[in-house]
Amino acid sequence: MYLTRLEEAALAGEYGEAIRIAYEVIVKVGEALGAEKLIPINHAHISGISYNNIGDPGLNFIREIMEKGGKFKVPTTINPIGLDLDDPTGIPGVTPEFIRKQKEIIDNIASMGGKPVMTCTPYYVDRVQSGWHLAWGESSAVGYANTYISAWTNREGGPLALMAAIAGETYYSGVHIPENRLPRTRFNVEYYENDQAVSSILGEIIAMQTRIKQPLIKGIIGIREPEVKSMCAAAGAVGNIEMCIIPGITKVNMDETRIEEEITVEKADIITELEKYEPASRPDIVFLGCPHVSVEELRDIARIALNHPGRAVNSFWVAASRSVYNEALSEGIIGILKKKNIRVMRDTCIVVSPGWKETNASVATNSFKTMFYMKRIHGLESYLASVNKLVDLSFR
Amino acid sequence: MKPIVDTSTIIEGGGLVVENPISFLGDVDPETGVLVQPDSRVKGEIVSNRVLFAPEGRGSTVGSYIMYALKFNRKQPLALVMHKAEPIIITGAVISDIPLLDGMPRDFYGTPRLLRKVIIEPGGWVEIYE
Repeated sequence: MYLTRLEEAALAGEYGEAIRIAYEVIVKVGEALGAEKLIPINHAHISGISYNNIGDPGLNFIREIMEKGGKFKVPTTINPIGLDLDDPTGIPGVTPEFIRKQKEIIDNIASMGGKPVMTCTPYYVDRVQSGWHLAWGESSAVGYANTYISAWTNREGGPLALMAAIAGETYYSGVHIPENRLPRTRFNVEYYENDQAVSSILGEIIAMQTRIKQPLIKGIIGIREPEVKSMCAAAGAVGNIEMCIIPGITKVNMDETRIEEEITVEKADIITELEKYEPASRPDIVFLGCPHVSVEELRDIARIALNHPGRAVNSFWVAASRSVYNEALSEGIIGILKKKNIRVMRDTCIVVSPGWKETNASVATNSFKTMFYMKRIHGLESYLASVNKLVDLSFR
Repeated sequence: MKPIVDTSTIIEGGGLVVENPISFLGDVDPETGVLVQPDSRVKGEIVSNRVLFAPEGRGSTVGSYIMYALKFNRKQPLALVMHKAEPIIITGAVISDIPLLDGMPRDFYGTPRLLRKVIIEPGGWVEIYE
């Protein structure tokens, strides 16, 4: 791999042990993937910081890299954790020890310069621009960045994103290279409507059928931001898809001469899936906000809730980042939702929170990603529907 | 063999050959160093203080932290020899300072077994005594 003089010095330990380790990880991973050089990044987002997920081994490593002088060179955000730090009620597996260790992980990240806003939507916290190179470690955010913002990032592992934040660089391979962002599979979508349940089913179908990346998605002109977000989240969870190309949204070279495969998604393909996962009765828990909601989505949920005379009689939860929560609080939306017995949670999401395995709760959501992981990781009965339908089932 | 994380000294010890791709998260107990991979025929053997042979890596990126935990608990393998190393294992090997080599022919992993003696020299030289 070609390294500049400064990169060589960093690798040799001239800027301290933390930077040396960071460069060694990035260079060695890059070499194994055939990268010819490193590339500066504008932003990093670290996944794998939930104590539920990384345990003491992760905590110890993050503490050690901080003690060795680790400092983030670029603005850095972090993924959701297992609880709302201001209100940990309602999550079954949260213990005082769990909270203490989770806080220690966040404190260590914060003292390296990370923003203690725990979210899978870093793009609502920091303004990320088209054409920026990033090292992001959260699959839904990676999909959103490449597809909606037209920023450039591979799906990094949690530890690698941490190292890239310290180095301010990552290895040049994958979708950092323009040629790897060209469409190779074309999807012709014959049925679409702007609803996150529908777009996330489409994301699942894209993930199951894409053999050659990247997929170009035709027939969804007019898709809105929340639906792009849900689609990318489903595609990333089911099939490791780090970008979709949507005409009118994604800024790439629309050269279609390299397309090798053409796939038609018929109306029946989507309707069959929707019917398969539809809840028949009131679920114990409704979970919205996978990925975390924007202020606009919270306004939409409030509008739908206000259209119903009743209020939720189950656990009706919406997850948001702390920054979105605070903005919505000042607009009065959090209060409106509270009156409808809808709880807005910060910092967390149901998928990364602990203790669900021991319950037998049923969960319904408008996100295919949540449904997928609540079944797979927590073994819960899970359903998918639009917000309107979920309100109808939950309100009385 | 290609040294990805090279050793600075000569390594000598027994070896353990695992037949399946390995995920340190779930396949190895970080407290005891015992291989707990459910479908392995050498399940129950320890990886600690042995040269561990596994064809590939797989699974969660938390695996890198588990390699670090093995080192922290002094239960780490002497070295890892793989057919093909991937980012999770490479990251884990660097942060835990566990020597890592790749380029071993895949056939070598066909039969899971213990090896009597393995010697690894700096630069990627590996001697194996069955």
